[in-house]
Amino acid sequence: MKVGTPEKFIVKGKRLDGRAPDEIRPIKIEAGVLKRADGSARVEWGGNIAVAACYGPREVHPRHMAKPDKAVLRINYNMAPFSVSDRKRPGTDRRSMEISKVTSEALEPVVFTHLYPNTAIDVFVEILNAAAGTRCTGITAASVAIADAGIPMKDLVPACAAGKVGGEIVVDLCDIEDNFGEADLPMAIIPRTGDISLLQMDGNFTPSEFKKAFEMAKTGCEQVYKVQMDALRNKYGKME
Amino acid sequence: MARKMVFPGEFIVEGDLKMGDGVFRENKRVYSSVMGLLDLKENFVKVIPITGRYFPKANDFVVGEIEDMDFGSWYTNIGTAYSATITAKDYFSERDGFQEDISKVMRIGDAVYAMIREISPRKRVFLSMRERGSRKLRGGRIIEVTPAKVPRIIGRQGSMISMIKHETGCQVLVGQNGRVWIEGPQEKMDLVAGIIERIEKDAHTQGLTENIKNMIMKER
Repeated sequence: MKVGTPEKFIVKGKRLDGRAPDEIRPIKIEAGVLKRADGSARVEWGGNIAVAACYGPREVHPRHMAKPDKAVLRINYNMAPFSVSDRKRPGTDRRSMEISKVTSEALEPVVFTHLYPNTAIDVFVEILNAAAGTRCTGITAASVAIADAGIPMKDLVPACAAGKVGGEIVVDLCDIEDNFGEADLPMAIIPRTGDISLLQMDGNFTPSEFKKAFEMAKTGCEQVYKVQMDALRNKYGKME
Repeated sequence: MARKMVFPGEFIVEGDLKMGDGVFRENKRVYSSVMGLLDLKENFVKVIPITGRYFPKANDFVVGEIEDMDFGSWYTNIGTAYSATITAKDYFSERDGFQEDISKVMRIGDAVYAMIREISPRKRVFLSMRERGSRKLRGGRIIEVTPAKVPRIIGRQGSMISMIKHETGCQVLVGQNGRVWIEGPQEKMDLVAGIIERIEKDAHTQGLTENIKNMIMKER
């Protein structure tokens, strides 16, 4: 057992931060927070804070990255040095490259990239504060930013994780649960069709546990989706 | 008439309607693909986007800046991902004759008001300077607005823009790409820039032309 592992993750049906196993952390999304970006969003989710800025479609640089039949969707996930308690060494690392890639792949199925050949849609996701589940926070923010930029898309993409702590399946892991839990299952869905656009797993589930975690994460995603839509409605709904 | 606001992925209608921009169909069900105002008619559906960059469309007039040139063409930045080409053929008319050295006509850094003649399937944009109204822009200044707000700056049948021109005495050209060229005395240009900023901010309000007219009167 790792040093610092809590004795019990769930006491009397409540988790360490007082949530029920199927309860996600409070989430707040605001669209259009950056004036200079074509589209932007700020997501506060539990202790996570992510700001996403979307630019484009615009010219692709370097030129050789351009695709003649569609736009390239480039995501740049970056953690601020002050986002974690130990200072993070600034700049790109293997982890942020991976997350940038999976975020881009999670969002590409919904963006009409074929409308803008030879262009780039750039999304910069900055994690200002990290407290477990930043990739889900990042995907959630990026998808609202793309919608805010007016880029045609089939749907928004919400993301949420489920995991296993102290033998129990819980949704949306918090900091300690993420660090000392047994498994983690981040997931992004396309709510309208029910498709899965991101599914990663860290740790081990039994098949029945996996099914339960899968359903819980999906329900979590649907809750996030409502907040995403409300963020857009709050900004643009008044214009009817 | 108040139009309904729709969001990406929102279900609009079922059936074999003709589709304009901003919508897509899946299994005979039509959904919105952007945030915008729904335009639903008996046999036609589209969504007018309220945000987003300009996307070039044939026959649109745009304000562009020449950023490169070679022997026979100018390459213009029109604020999109695609730079627009003006070939010598699209500038000179047969009556006026060709100019051997095109840099004597327009140089890098010059601004133009031109019409999009064609967009090739591979999204190459060609501008024409031979259309009525298109010209090289001398002096003045260019300001940028959200392309989605351009129809409000022009107004119904040009009511807003002709009122601004009439009341301030400035020359104003509005490109569909959200660039507005203003030319006139310094303080009048400031006034027009202020007016356009105001229109952009209050684009969704009723009786905008009247309000702007009052604003100009007050400034006098």
